[in-house]
Amino acid sequence: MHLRAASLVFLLLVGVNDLSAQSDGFDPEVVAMTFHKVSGTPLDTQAMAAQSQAAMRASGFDRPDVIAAEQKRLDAQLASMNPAQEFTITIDDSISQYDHNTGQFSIELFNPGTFIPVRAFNREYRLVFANAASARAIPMPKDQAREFDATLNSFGRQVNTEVRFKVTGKGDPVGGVLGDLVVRGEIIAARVLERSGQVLLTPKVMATSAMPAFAGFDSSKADVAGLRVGVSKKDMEATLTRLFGKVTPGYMSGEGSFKGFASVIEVNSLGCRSGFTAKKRPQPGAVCVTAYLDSSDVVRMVRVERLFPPGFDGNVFEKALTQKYGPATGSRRGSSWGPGVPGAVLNNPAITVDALTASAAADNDISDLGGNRLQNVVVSLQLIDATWAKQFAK
Amino acid sequence: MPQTSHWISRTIAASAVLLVGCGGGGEPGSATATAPPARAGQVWEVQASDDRAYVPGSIVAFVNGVHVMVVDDDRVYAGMTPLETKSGSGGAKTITFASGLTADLVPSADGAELRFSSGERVPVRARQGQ
Repeated sequence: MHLRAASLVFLLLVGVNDLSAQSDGFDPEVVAMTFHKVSGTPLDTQAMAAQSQAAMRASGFDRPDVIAAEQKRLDAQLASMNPAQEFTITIDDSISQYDHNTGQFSIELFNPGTFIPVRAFNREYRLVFANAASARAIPMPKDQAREFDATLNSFGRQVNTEVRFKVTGKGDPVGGVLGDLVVRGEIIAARVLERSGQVLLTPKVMATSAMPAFAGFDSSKADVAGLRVGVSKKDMEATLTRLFGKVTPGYMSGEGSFKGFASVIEVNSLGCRSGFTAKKRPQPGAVCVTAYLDSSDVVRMVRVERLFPPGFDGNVFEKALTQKYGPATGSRRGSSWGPGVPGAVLNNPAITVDALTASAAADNDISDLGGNRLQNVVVSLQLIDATWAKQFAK
Repeated sequence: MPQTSHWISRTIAASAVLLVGCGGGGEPGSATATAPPARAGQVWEVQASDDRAYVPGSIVAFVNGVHVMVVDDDRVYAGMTPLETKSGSGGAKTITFASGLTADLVPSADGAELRFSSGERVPVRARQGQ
């Protein structure tokens, strides 16, 4: 996981190395200021003023006044930002190989997970485009594509993509780019240019409002590792038996447990965690499932766990979840999806839990104390039938 | 009046994994839930491997329920979520998930390999005796 993170940092540094190459009046700070104004994300102008060149140059005697003046200037600048301001940037880009299955090329910049690093106020902002998907594809019949491909190869597929955009909010709607300073933009127009400046193509851009959006998280339609809630005990048993083997009745704790649950069925109970089993240490690939049923033998909560080897990558996990479920909407940032359901479902009435939660934790046991063995990772996905739980809790 | 710039030498950056999808993904798991056939088809599962190169693929497979799946002709059962497949050349199948993610199930010498459109890949094999 650490190696992966280090690689990402390196990649970002490569991305921001050339920020000083800006020209023609494009001001990253104006983009950043507009982002703060449009999204309502607080900007600590006092701290920025204290770190400004003017403050650094001032004597100790004058510094408080200089900082106050600089903060006033920044506050005024922030207030004056025009949310409708349009910006144009041109960046190094490339065109993909032809995808013979879909019959199209694609523009690298507009791939999900891609962002433009914008350095302002000693921080990195990440610019993404909410309607990038509409501009990504270059569909083309194969015969025409052959000629176009040869043209691309003649200049190494390297192009400049010019994007006219405005700042519309915060966060990547696709969820591929994470962080507190993700600037959401909307492409107004785009052109792909050869390095000579000749226009190669003009992508069709669709307004964000005209594009399909995530329908929102619905626990009754979601699955965790393919397993669903709202299904019959018979179907769940049949599925688990086919995929994982013997299904056994589980243990229902008595006093204090949620009255909505009447029974439990399990596969490989407690077989995914070292600390809970007297047998040999569980091996990567082990899968454990627990399904909670109501009095009508309908599955209302399911938890599935899998043990992964030490190379587990949390970034890949988070991105896979976001790809599947959309941006996390629950209270556990990045790892849960709403709506919230009464905590009594988890035997903890004092809290509210989210319908879907995801977690990853090292598989520790007593034998790991003081050792330096790389640990396996237990990944857990839990889904609750939120609509049912809310109704039952009433 | 638009602001303009020419950051010719600027590069773009990408998250560790480039996601795929169209228009921001889709409604998760909208297919009707159903148990896989009790006997028909074959159970395929991600191979347990110490090779770290395959861990990302096994993560994506788990999240999408194809770490253990029933492959029955042109249908794949990710748990109780049936998924349609499209046959390709050389016996390959393309599985399409509700999110827009796809995975090619490509035959290999040791069984098959799942190749996700997000870039990850992982070997899978048919379970013995199934």
